[in-house]
Order: sequence, then structure tokens, then C-alpha cells
Amino acid sequence: MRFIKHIAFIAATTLLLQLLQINKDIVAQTAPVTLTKPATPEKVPNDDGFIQRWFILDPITANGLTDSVVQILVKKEQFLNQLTVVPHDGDLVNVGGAELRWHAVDTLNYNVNLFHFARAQEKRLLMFCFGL
Amino acid sequence: MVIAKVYSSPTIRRMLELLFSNITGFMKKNFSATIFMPLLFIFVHNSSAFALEGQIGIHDPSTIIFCDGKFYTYGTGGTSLVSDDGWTWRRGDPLPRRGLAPDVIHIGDKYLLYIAANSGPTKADINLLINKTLDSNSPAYKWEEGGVVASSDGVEDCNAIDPGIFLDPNTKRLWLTYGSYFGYTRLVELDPKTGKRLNDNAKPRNIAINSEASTMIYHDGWYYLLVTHGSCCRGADSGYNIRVGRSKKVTGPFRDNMGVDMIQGGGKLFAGSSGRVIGPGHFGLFDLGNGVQRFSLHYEADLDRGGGSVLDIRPLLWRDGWLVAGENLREGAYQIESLRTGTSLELAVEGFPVGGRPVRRGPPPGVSNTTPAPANNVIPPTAAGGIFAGIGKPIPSQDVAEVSTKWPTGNIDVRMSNYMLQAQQKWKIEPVGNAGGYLGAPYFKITIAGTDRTLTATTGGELVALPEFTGSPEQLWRFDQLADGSWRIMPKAIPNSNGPLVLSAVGSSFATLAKFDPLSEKQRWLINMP
Repeated sequence: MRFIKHIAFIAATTLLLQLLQINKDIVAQTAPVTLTKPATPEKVPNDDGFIQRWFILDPITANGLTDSVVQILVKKEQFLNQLTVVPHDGDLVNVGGAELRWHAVDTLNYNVNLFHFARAQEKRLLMFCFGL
Repeated sequence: MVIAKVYSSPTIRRMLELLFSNITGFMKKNFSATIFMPLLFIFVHNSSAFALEGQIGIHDPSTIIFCDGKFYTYGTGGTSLVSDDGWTWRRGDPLPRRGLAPDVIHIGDKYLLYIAANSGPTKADINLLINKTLDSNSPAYKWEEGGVVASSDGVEDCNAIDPGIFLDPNTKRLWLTYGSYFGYTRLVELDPKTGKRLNDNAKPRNIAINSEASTMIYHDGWYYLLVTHGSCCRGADSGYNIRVGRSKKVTGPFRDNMGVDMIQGGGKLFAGSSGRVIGPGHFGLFDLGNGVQRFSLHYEADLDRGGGSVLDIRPLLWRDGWLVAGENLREGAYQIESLRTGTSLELAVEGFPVGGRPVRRGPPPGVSNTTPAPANNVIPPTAAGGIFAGIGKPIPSQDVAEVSTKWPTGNIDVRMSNYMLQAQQKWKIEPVGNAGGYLGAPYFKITIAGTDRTLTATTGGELVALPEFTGSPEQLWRFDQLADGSWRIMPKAIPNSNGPLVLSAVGSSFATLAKFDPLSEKQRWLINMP
């Protein structure tokens, strides 16, 4: 299923690098929810021009977060056709032997709150960077 | 495009908090405008910079506050600094709580100090401390606990640290902003009588995001929300910079100069790294009255002080409804020009043209001439351009040592005149060591560049240039940059005079000392590079 038309390119080139740890405590409390599963086939940017529908890939582990490390990771082809593929929710890709999943999300805000994303997966976000 | 941010801090708590920060999908239609760099309105270029004197090491300083003849500020870790004149600082007594980024305000007979502490990642409380005086030598000096006024539970989109306290001058309602890079900056109302939360059940209002060190000020019909963006606590690698948005209502929305709401990442740059200092943060207003304002801040790294985090105090200017960060006056040779008349301060001596007096011979351009060849400094009659052609080589600046031999040896009157780049019009302005200062700056002496001829206030509030600098108070000058960027210039003291008087233009040709009128241009001066 295609969730978007307008921003397919941007979404397909999204790359998320994270280190995650499971932390049950943090989801034991009521946390803000700003990300939801898309319920419509299309979504246009809001009145202010913010894109509110995104694909997020499971985290790719990064050894360090210096600018040079990030540059290398972002520019590396982590999986086939990573800059052109239009993913689907739930699609799996293999990155360095790990099966990573694409997640389609709508955000209520102008931004994609990755802390909320990590918490929704019952994981704690420790480090991240984000590339388009 | 890659967006990558790395945050760190000296404590694990703060590090975790920062690591939990959001990454925004900021794809505004007018994205190109986000790289807009505002131009600063500056009259002065530096030759050498000054930092405050004494012990000025501090991080996250509070708003500077005046109590019983002394200035105080408080920082993270419960540190405090105190100063008798606002220029030379020393360590003060620590607070009973050693938390994060305090802020303080004086209301009625009480000083209300708010200071935060993390008890877990993004789990924090802001506590109130109350005292009747900030002078630890006073018998009345005693900090009392006022309880928690705001908090975050470790899960919600906020970290309740970095309190900023604001008393609305219109409504007299008391407000507290707080928050850090994790989630939202929030606003709650406090009781101005007690300093405590006005309504515990009232939901905090989100007013900004991804910001620290928030505080609010009011100016000319607008509420301004000052925050600090960027990373802290990494010395010269800290990206701290002060941003601002404004609103007609204290509750927002606060928008920047491009109309972007601060809750969507907006914020007009107010102060960034420059010169030898990196990572300005934690704005605090100090209003001196009569339209003279200063702001306090810290730099994450002062390269001249080993990269340490230090306090600074700078002039606050206004332009087109926005704050502009002024620069303290720096040592140099300047033209002192009246904003009102456009004429400049000078010694009342016979002026001598730069390059000497040319003897212009010959006709206007295009007219043939057979006049004999001229002597030095005489326009060659056959040069292209005729009498307007110059001498055909660069003319050096006027040598004060040469022209000053013609000046009287004793006292010389001071007047104003059309600026002609002449030696008697160029003033050396330099700080005087061990002469004290005022809020944010030292006292200066003003001499004709290359001489000891010193601008001096006289009995009766007039001006004269004495042959020597003696260091007396009437030869020490204070420079206050005003909201429009011009300067107010006043002597430290005037013989047989009680009230402060400032340099004032009289017509186009004379200057005197007079009472400051904030609505007049007579006492506004431009300090220009000659």
C-alpha cells in the first residue's frame, strides 16, 4: 500500500541511526502520543508546510556519533536502492545482517518526535542522528 | 542533507536528557529563510576586547539583581558572584541548594530565587528559596524553603529545569518559564505575594520547544521570550546561542522575525559566538532606567580565559521592535560625533588640513594652462583633472606630533566642529586600570590620540582638555550604549556637583555637561572609527 505520493522520495531516503535499549519502566507511565498509524491513503503537508507523514526505519547501530562517523554511515549504501525505494509499512530490509523494519507514521505535530517513536516500541532512545 | 546534533553535559542526568532530545522534521515551505543571518547594528569595531574583572567564572547565571548597594548573580551548582560596581566581581556565598540554573527576582520585601534539580532523566523539580536580603553579612540573611513550584515526571515532554521568572509590568502577574532541550518550554503562573504556584491544578502552557534558559521580558507592547538554542557544556565545542520570539500576549504564541512559532522551532538569533567568546547563553535583563538596558549572559568558552565559562554584561539595544545585542566599548581611536548635529568633538585649536594646505593653481579640467610647474603640495597644472586632481600620490594621516606643536601648552577648550580627519578631532578611548567601573564596563580616559591631552569635566559642568591625565574622577568617563546604538558619555564625578551630568551638545559648535534627557538627541553620541 502506498501511504504517500507527495513525499515518497523524502520518506524513502530517510535513514535513522539509533542505539536502543529496552526499558520497561519508561512505558509504565502515561506518555504523550504524537505518532499514529496512517489511516488515509494520502496526506498533504499541513497549512504551515510541514510534512506530517513519514517512514521511519528501525535504528542502524552507530559506533560513536562524531560528525565523520555519521557522514560515513549516512553516505554508505546500507541496503539496495536505499535512496530510491518507496517502502511500505512493515517492509523489512537487511542491514549488516540485521532485519530492520519500516514504520509508517503520521505525526500530530510539525515534527517527528523520535523519543515518542522509541517509547512506542518499548525502547529507550539513547543516541540518534537523522538523515534525509 | 544530513541533520545531526550531538549534545553533552557535565552530568549524566543532563546528558541523558539531551540525548533524549527530539529531531525535527522541519520542512517549512520557506526553508531558505531559516538560514537568514540578521545584520547587527554596530557603530564600533574593536581593537581589543574587555572581559569583566575579577572572579567571573560561572555557568547558567541568573538575572543580575541589585541589593543593598551590591550586584548579585547565581549559577548552576549554587555558585554566586557579587560585585560592588558591576565591573569587578568576586565569589559570594553559595546557595543552600546546589541545583541547576537559578533565577531570582525582587518583589516587595522578598527576594524569590528559583532553582531546579533533576532526580532522574527529565524528572525534575523547581524549588523556591526566599530571603529578605542577598547580603550574607546582614542579620536578616536567611534562605527559607518555599517548596516546589513546577516539576516534570520523567515521561512527559518537558524537563523542569532552567527557571526564568517574569513579573508582568502591566498586570503585575508573576510568571515562570522553564524547560530544557528535552521537549517543551513551559509557562505557569505564580502568586506574586508568595512566589508559589498560583494554581497547582492549572495545566502548564507549552510556549517553545528544544530550548533552554528561557526567560521573558516586556518592551513597548510586546512580550519577548528569550531562550538558548544549541549545545552546552562542551567548552569551545558548545553551540549555545540566544534566540528570541515575541507575542502580544504573555501566553504566546511567540513568533520570530520570520513568523515561525517558537513551539515549532522558531527563534530569531539575538547573540551568537563572536570574537574570542563561544556559546552565549542564559539571557538576563538589567534595566538601568532612562532607556538604558543591559543584559547578562555567560559564554561557554572565553578563549582568553582558558576556555572557561564566564559571565558577561553587555548593552541591550532595540531595532525595529527586536532586541539587538550591543557590544561594550573597546579601546581605540575614535571620532565622537553628536547624533543630533553631526558635528564632532574637538580641541579648540587652529585646524590644519590633512596633507598641508595645497596651493591650487591652474584652470578647471579641460582648460589649457601654461603656468610654471608648482612646488610640493601644489596641484600640477597639467595633471588630468586640473585643480581637482590631487597631488598624484597617497597622503598620510595627520601626524599629531607635528601639528600639536602649534597647540597651546596649557588647558584647551573643547568644542564641536565639522569632522575633517584632523588630529585634534581623534580621541583615544581606553580603560583605566584599578579605577573601578560600572555595570559591565570599566571607566575610560579620553585623550587626543597620540597625546596626553585629556578630556576633563570642570566645576560648573563644562569641558576642558588638560595637558595630562591625573586619574581624578573628573577624567574618568562612563560609556552607556543606548537603545538606538548611540552612546551616553558621563564623567565619574564633577567637581562641586552632586547630580550626574552627561556630555551634551549645545547647538552645532559647543559641548557641555547637562542632565540626561532620554528623549533628547543632545546627549547621544556616535563613536565612529576615524
